[in-house]
Amino acid sequence: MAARSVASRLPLWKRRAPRYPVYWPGNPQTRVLLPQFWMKLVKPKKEVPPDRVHFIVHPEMSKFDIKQYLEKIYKVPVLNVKVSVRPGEDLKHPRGYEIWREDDFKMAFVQLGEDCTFEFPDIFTVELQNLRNRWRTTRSLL
Amino acid sequence: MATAMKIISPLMRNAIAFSSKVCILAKQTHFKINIVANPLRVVTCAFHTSTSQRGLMEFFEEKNMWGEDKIKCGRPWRIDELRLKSSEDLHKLWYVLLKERNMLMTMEHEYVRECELFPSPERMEKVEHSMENLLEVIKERDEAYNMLEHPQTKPEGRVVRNALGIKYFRKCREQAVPMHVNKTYRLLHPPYEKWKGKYLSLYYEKRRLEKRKAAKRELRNRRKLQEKYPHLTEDDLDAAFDNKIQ
Repeated sequence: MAARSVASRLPLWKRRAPRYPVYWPGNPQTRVLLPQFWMKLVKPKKEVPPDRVHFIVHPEMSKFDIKQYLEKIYKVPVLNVKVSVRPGEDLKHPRGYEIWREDDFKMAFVQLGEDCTFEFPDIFTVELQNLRNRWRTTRSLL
Repeated sequence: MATAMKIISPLMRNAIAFSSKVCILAKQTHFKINIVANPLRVVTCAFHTSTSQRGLMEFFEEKNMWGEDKIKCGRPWRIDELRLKSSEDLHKLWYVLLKERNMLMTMEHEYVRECELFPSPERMEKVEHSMENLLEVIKERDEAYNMLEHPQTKPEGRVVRNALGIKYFRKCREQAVPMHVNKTYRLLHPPYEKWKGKYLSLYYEKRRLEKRKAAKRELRNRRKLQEKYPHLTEDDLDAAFDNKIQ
């Protein structure tokens, strides 16, 4: 009965990744077959060179994990990875005095290798919006 | 190419649909899937997804899905269906799901940043549900395999006392150094002293009473519910209080 236990527990992406076994020299190399890490690609706040990509990653991921993840799963060449942990934003209720803070998150700044470039796509372009509005109006007429 | 396509788990559609030629024909039996790379040439293999060349654009949805209000998707993979699959297929499916989840997280972040409503957010739960089921199947297989080699499959544990003298169950895990060398372990688990017993008995009593009170409270609530809705079975009540998690 996995269905009921899913609701009661934390979502999978918020849980801790399972411990990697301790490596003893001489043993065969251990492999991760089912990685439970996640990464999300975010838009950089300022303008960056075309070969830089910014991610928010699972807080337990290391630089090497990120490099392996991108190279093995997404087949993207990676030259360099920088990592920093950022504090979550402070939030305040508009009326009251309750103050709380969002969760901290880990950012990864990746430099692509082999002259690869990436441009963050515009999902909400004007054309698309117009098209969507037209579609909405037609649907309402129907 | 209007072939009669029937996608086995429409959740997979997003992951697979990026190569226009690939479509999946599902038969009555779930474990027999034919992949049609070219509609004229039918390849029969257990499971296969073509490697995509989209690179980092795999973090985003397909272009024709951008800015839509609703995106159709099916149900998650059931555990019984996954039990029929080979481990190799499960390994492939895991990466499909992983990419799908990454894509959903990226898109949701972008939608929130642009102050837009994210379409069909239930997709995330469905992907996670299938991932959870997959992990469970793998765990079962792992245990069965270990059972052949060692009689004991799960790591043992033992009851230890912490700095306050309170007992708790500690799982045995592989450590880089033995216990008596580990500084943090020694600090957190100092030797037990007799004077702590007085307070411990009081503490245990308090905990026991709290537990009893909670049980009584639940029983009372259960009876109330049963009176109000007499058609409820015991399983429904369990689900309502969510106290029996398997």
